[in-house]
Amino acid sequence: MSKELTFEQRLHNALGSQQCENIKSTHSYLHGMMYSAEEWDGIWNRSKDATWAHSFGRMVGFDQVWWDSVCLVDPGAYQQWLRALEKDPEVARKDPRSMGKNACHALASGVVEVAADGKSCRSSYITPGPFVMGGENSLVSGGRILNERYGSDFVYNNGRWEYLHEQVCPDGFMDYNNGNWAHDRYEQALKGNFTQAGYHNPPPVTDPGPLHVDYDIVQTVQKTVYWPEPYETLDDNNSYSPGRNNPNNF
Amino acid sequence: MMNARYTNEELVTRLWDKEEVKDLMSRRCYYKQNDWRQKELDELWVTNEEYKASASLANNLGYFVGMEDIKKYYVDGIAEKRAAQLEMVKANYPDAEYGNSVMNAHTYHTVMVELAGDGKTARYLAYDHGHQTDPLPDGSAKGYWTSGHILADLVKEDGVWKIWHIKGMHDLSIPSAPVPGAGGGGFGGPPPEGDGGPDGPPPEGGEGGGPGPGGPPMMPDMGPDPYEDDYGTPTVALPYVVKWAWNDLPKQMPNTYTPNETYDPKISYGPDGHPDQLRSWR
Repeated sequence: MSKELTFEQRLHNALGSQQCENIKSTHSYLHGMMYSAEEWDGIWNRSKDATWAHSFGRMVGFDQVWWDSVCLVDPGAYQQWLRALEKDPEVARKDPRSMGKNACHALASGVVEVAADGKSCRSSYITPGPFVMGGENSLVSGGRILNERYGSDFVYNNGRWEYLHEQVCPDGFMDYNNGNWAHDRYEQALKGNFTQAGYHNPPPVTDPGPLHVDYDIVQTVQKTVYWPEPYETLDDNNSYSPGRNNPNNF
Repeated sequence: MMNARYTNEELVTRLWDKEEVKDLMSRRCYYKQNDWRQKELDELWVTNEEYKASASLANNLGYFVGMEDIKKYYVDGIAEKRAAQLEMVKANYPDAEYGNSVMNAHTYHTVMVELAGDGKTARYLAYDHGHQTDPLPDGSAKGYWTSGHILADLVKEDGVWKIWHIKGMHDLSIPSAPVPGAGGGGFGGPPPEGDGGPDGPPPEGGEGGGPGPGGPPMMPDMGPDPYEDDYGTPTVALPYVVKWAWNDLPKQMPNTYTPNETYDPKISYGPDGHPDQLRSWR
């Protein structure tokens, strides 16, 4: 943080850093509960510059993010709920989303920077291998190892902090104890039959990918979501979605 | 840009309070790993008599309420179990040097802290990834990766943050190595196959949306919870039912203070704040 900031500016930025940590965790739990509508309705900026990216590409604009992340996601939860209901009538009283498949993206090793102008905040996190819960036939949980990196931009807009950009970079998705995942992936990489963890049916996006590929043992460093450095303001050199940095572009 | 609701002095206090709450909860991880249970109650928990009477510690079976009941379960009950486990170790490895007889670690991450408007209490949510290895009578051991969510009410006593209510909701355990005949992926069942991907929508029949071989998802039969014997007999038996996944969590997010943002037992992580499960008991 710049030494020329006033006490008030420093305080604003420190509070902003804390608030963006909370927003990032809020996303993790809302996603874990499949509360997609609450997430995008509650903590996201709604401009045309809001973006959400994954290995398969980048959704651009709040409308596309909402469509792909809420409208295309919720039906799966309800369909799953209906299948579960056929097996267990008690399911009728349960919340179709939060009792379903939940992916908890644990957040660790956070690097958080607030712009010197106090109008934006950037963060990068690594997820160290969370679990994936799921309910299909027997409404029970399954565990997986998921390694990902996240780059996020937040903006201070109309007196509150909002999510503006997210880029998810999946490095690997494995079972905890089904085979020897580390060795298997090593062999796959060397034999040239490495399987990417990406989506089989990605949603429609404005900027198609791939934006990131799985991490393997023979790979060089990917220049995707580098951690943020101290910066003055949100611009194309300090953004996880260059060219889309105006939170009031409606 | 500053918040007009608080003075700068108050904002600095609120900023620092959140950091102290995070530190307090992180310290608990170290105490737990060392099995310093009495020390934890003495140093990290409430000391005010009123708070002590309503303090609670919850696991998947319910709530231990009041410091006396908490101590009986969390300190005395576990100490008794540890002593028996130590005897198992000694019987099989008479020349070994002995520690706590159980190896465990817990890490709290993905933290949310919500401070009440009056600054007197805070609500905390984190995820706990850890491991635990317990000795078995035949000289072997059972080891699991453990996952669960942690919810806590903290209260400021004479300027120091203390644990008032805490819930450790165990979500699942994964054998640390494949167990012959037990499979994996849950409490001991076979691994799941082809679901909707780590970030994606739930799977639809006949088509895996993400990694894996595709096809209808086959979720595992978890089998018994390997730690159910550790849960004891709670003062108030209100369960967390794992098979409903996070069905409770929407009602328990930390940002659900009352409109005037003060502590209310009905919106707490004590038994009065338990989400309505009706007759969901398994």
